[in-house]
Formats: sequence, C-alpha cells, structure tokens
Amino acid sequence: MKQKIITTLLLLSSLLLLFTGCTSAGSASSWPGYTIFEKTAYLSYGSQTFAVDLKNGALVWKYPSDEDRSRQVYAAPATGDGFVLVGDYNGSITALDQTNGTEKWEFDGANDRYIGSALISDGMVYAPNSDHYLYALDTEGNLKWKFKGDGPNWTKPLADENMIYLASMDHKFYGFDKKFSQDDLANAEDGSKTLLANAKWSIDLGMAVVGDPVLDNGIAYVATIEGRLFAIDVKNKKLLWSFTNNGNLGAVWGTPVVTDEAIYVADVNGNIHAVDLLDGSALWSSPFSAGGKVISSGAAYEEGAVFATDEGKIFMINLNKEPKTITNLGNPIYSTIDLVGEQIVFAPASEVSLLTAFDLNGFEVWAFLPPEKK
Amino acid sequence: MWESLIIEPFINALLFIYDLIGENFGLAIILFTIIIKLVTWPLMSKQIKSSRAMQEMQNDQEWIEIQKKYKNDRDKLAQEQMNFYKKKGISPFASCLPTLIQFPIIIGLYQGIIQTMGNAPMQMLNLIPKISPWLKDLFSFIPGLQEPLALIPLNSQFLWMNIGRPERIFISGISFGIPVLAIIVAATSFLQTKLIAAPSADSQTNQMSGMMNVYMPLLMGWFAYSLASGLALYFLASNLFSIIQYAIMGRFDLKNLFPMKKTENKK
Repeated sequence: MKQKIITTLLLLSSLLLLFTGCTSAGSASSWPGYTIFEKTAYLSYGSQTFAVDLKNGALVWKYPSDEDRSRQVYAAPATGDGFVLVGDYNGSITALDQTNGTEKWEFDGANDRYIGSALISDGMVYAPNSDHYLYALDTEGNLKWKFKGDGPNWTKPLADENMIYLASMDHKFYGFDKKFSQDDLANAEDGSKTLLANAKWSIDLGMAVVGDPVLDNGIAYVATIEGRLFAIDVKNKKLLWSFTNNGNLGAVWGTPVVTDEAIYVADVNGNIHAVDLLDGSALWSSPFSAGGKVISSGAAYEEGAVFATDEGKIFMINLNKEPKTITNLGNPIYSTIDLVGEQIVFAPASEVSLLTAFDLNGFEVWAFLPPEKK
Repeated sequence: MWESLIIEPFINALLFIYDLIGENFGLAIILFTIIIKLVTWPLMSKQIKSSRAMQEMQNDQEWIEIQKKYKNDRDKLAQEQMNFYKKKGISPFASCLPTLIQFPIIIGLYQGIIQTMGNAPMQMLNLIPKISPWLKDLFSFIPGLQEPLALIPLNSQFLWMNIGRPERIFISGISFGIPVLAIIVAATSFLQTKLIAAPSADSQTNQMSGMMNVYMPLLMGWFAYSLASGLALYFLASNLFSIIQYAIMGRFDLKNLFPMKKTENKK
C-alpha cells in the first residue's frame, strides 16, 4: 500500500517537474554581460560579478564571494568614478569598489530587472530598468530623479556633453537634459516637487529597441526589433534617415558598428548590412550571410567590423565584403565582441570559459572560468 | 515540429487576443485558457465520464468480490477483471486517451504563455522569430489591429500584479509580501480535487485520493508562488473552468467537501 502511494506521488512529481522543466525557467535567462575598462574586464553572469585581468585572464576579484541563488546578474557592469555598478534581476543596483570589489552602496528603489547596463557620466548614474523607469542617481546612490516611460528599458543610455539619451522598448528614443533643475520635476498634489521627471524630447521609432544604440559625431544610430536602423541628429532632434534594405534587415539585437566609411548592422537572420553614413543607403547589393544568427554586438577594426554568430563563428568583414573567419567555437556567442589591441575578447558562456581572448589568427590566448567552476 | 505545430500558433493566438481586447495580457491569458478548455471540452467530458465509470466500478459488489476471491492468483484476477470490463462495457483505457491527447495542448499552452511574456533577453530572442507578420493581414477585416511585432513589449500590468513576476501584495506594517494569487490557486486546486473525487469502497483508493487532495494543491500553490503570476492566472482560470465543467456535467458533489458521518438511529 505504502509503495503504491509513494509510486503515485513520485509519478505525479515527475510529471509536474516535466511540466515546468519543459520551460526555460531553470536555464539562464540571459548571457554574460561585460565591460572593459583600461586593463580589466568586469563580467556579470549568474549571481556573481568578476573582475578579470585582460593580460592573462586571471581573476582579480569577485562579488559576492560565494554564489547567491537569490540573485541574478546579467547586465554588463558600468564603470567610472572609481566604481563598478552592477544591476541585478531583483531591482537592486550595487556600487563596488573598482580595485577590490567591496560594496560601497546599494540602490534598491527599482521594482524589476536590470537588463540594460547603467551609464556613469559627469558624476551621475543613469540606470535603465525593466519597470519602465530610468533612474538618475548621484555617485553616492541617492535618487535625484526618475523618468517613467511606457515600457521596459533594456538598453544602455548614451551621453554627450549636455544630454542623456535613452532608446526604450516603448518604441521611443528620449532626450534628457543633463543639467536637471527642480523645474523639470513634476508637481505632487500638494504642490511639492516629486522626483518624477519629464523627457526634454522624444522621437517615435514605431517598434521596440532591445540593442544598445551608438552615438557618433552627434548622430545616434538606433535599430529596432522590426529591422529598421535609424540615424537621429540628437542636436537638432531630427530623424535623418532610416534603413531597412527593402525589408531585408531583420530584427537587430546588437549595437551597430560605426566606422569612418560605413555602419555595419547585423540582424538575427544572420545577415550583415553595410550602410552609407550620410544617406542610409545600402553599400552592398545584397547583405553578407554570416551563416548563423547574429545577436552579439560587433566591434570595429581598421578595415571593417568583427562579428560573432550564435553558432560560435567569429569573423571579420571589410567594406569590400571580404570575410575572414577567425575561429569556429561551436558555442553560441551572444555577448559583445571587443577588440583589445591584437586580441578579440568575448564572453561565450560555455562550460569551458565565461570570458576568453583569441588572437587574430584564431588561437586562444586565455580563457577565464571562476575557480569553483573548474 | 513541436514549436511550429503547437507553440507558435499558441503564441500568435495569445498575441491576437491581446491585441483584440486592448492590450491586457492578464485578460488574454484568461480568455485563451477558456478557449482552449472549450475546444478540449469533448475530450475532457469523455475523460470525466470514463473515470467516473471506473470509480463506480470500484464500488460494485461483483468487482469487490472478484478482488477478494482472486487476490492470491494474479493471472486469474486479471482474466476475471477483463471479463467484468466486457460485461459492463467499460474500457479501462478510455480515461487515459483523452488525457494523452490533452497533455501536449496543456504543455503547449503553458509554454506559449511563458514564451509570450518574454521578460528576459533569452525569452525575447526566442519570441521574436515566432511572431507571424501575416496575422494582421489575415484578420485585416478587424479594424484597429496592430502589427504583431509592434505589440512588443506586452503590457504586463494586470490588476495589482506584474504578469512577468511572482505575485505579492504588500501591506503596510507587514514586512513580507502576501502571495494572494498562490493562496487562491492552492484553494481552487483543493476545491477541484475535493469536489470531483467520489469516495470509493476501496480504502487504498480513498487513502491515495486523500493524499492527492493535499499534495496537488500544495504543489500548484508552490508553482503559483514561485513562477510568474501570468502562469498563476492560467492555473486559476484552468481550475475554475474545470470546477464549472464538472458542475455542468453534474459531477460536482458538495458532500465531498463536507463529508458527514453516517449516524445510526438508536431505537
């Protein structure tokens, strides 16, 4: 009898586990996010953030020292003013000492996930959150103002001398004045000032933006999930052109790569498009097929751009549409690709390494894996 | 094949309902659950009838005697049981087949909801290619429909909850959030199992269904507590629909909820 009951309960549990196991609930919900600052890479993945020496891939510090299952960090850390900012899935942003990873302060005023990286600019922190807010903090972690849009914010804000820009999933591209005055804040019912701020201006892009935009010479290049690349003159708040390549540009996840001669934009269909900086026309008669989805943000080199596919192929492509394969890893690459000197740095999120560097001939220089995972 | 036959149509149907009702994802989940439950109604009815027949069989005097008589002879017991099924016109597998057919639909519905919520990069990455651009063209006769991709991001606010996050209600003075939805899911799961379970003459069966009455609601409550509230909404809508379906089919017995002890009149 007892055996029959136990068997039934086990069967039921297995079915329910299968039921939930069929979902992505148990797997990583994102890929590693990292930022390079001087000679160190700061990498967030799982529940921890690691500082990794770019010379040899050695661990400099990690935070927290032990894995904490209640915490998930995937947004690329922000660096500046001597600290590293880490936003987690519980709505907390933690400032760590850049040299040793000790906690300096924490801001837990957000209600949802930090997916986009924060920006540190002119003594302020701008942290986009999925709860539809952009939080502006001082470098002590005090909230100065916050802006509420109509959708989650997954992209890293941009900054120039006077303004902050944010591309949101609510289909808009916003501009905020850096010199925020009390007059910019909304009034509460009793007439006092709230911390809710208004954007100076916005442009409707018609679709959500999930990939970080890029600012170059006063032009912001923003791509949407519909497959449209916009060039926005941020000084004149004017849309200069948009590029779809006659509908051939698919959803864009990574940041467009801007070089002196062209913008390279990759889509999830695995196509690379070269676009004229001035008028947004296609520079190639047909896009270059990468042979796999391109999710990661590429990097610029003298002759063109470096990209990676979700099948682990890293390749260079120049303006003449001549590709050069660096390596074929086999593991998906979703994170940003960086060129540091003669090395390509990326985060493959494999069991072998969380962050790795290859030379331009396709040889591994170093691979970083936390000591407890080895 | 699983993705293109089950998940993608479910995701697009969910998005279509979401668009149609004015971008309310919570309501879209509830409506979609009801539609799926209505579509699978005939299967569910057949299952309910078959399992009831099996339950009634357990109380049949002839069946009980067969069990007692051949309890030490397995082969003979199996043979006599088959004869009994034939005689009464019962198919022991009739209640399994509808369940087997429904199972992929339920899993698909569950996965469809999870994927449509797309509240993390990996989910969103999987979601975007599954959104069919032709959906708007197909239903172009309906005014005001949006381009399906333009529906991203979905409005995740429903009543007091964020559909993509586990639900809690915070009350001033209490340091932790109260999982109201999880409690309601556990309560309706308990009601569902309790109201529909007919008592059996077999003590083993009774003991097992008693365990299930406790174990199932707790598990469902735990899932509703720890997973996104959109899924908890689906559990709740599904439970309530099943209770109503049982009631409509006359299989709803309040006496199961408050069992009364038989009292003998003393003369």
